[in-house]
Amino acid sequence: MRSAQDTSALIRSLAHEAAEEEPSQGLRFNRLLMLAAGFSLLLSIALALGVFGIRPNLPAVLAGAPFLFKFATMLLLAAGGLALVRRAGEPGTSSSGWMMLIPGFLVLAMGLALDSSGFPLLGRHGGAVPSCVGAIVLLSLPALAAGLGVLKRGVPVQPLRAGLAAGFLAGTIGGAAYAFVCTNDGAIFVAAWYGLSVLLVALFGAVIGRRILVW
Amino acid sequence: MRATRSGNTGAYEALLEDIGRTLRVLVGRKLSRLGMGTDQTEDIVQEALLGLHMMRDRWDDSRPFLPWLHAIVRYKIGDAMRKRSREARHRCDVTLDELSDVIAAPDPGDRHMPDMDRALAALSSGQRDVVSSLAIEGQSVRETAERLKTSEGAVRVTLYRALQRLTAFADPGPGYARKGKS
Repeated sequence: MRSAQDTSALIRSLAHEAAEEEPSQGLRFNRLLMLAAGFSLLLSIALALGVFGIRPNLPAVLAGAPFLFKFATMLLLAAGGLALVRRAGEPGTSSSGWMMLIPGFLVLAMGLALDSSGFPLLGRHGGAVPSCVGAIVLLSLPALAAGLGVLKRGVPVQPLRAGLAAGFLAGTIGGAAYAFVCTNDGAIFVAAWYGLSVLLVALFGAVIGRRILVW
Repeated sequence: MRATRSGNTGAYEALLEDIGRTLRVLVGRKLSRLGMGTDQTEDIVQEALLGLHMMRDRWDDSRPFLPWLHAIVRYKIGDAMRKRSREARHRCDVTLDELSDVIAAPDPGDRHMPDMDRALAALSSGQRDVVSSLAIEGQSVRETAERLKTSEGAVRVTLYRALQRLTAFADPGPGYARKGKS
């Protein structure tokens, strides 16, 4: 059992330490988070193109509506994810960042409503679903590591939620990167399997976050 | 906190004292509402202050301080209370194990280790890690801090509190005397 005098002694030693140590310099949490997200997106795109190969008609694909739909949806959701991670790593900010996900989901819903291609849910060939989900999860791992790393330098007061947010952000970044090599152009395919992949990475992030983000 | 940033140590001490006073009332009330003994109040207050201290550089001074402080302190207190209720169970297990160890010990000459284990069991798990790393494995403060992923300052503070608890254990008050100690 400690006494109040004891706490005063502790406070004095902490104040002493604060006076001796230089305040640690470094990038602010926000800036760091933006940098980490940007770099991991570029890295994942490079990885996707490196592993799956650059299609000869890539410029045409990148100008096409299906790619733009996939990429825009994922980027908008990633922007919402960024806002969530930012809130998770800075205590005292309002906790309801879920509104930031609305634009991404709106575009996704619009794509679903406007899609009349009749593209099969399970993709062009039998292996489409596992390869798509597997690829997105793998492509999101750099972003997940970066996101959790940045959160460790912030002040996460809800480790599980912070991990969930980092996982969501990473999953959407992986999805955005995979869009460069994805040949399945149906909105339903994107909603179902990109969605599942993002969910998986988000849950993974939550599990890890709960372990490593406590302090 | 702004004054602290510009190097005013006195302001920092006053701030911590202030927060400590408020927390003491708050934590005491919370503990008694949960039906736990209030004798842990001061420990929990110290844990919260320590957490605040370790994160002090991460506060963005373009943002309001109070909401930030509030969120951190709530997290630390919640964490400390959860740990208490978990450790209460854990510590009971350890005692039983040791009891059987002592009973089964064939060599009464080797009294040193059980005594040490028993003393260490009086510490919280974090304190035990620090003490065994520094005193038993003989590592330096820096190595210990790196291994436990915390700052050197935090290791020193933990050690300081652990030593206080060990002193209290080695010099028990009335009614705490152990049998068989010659």
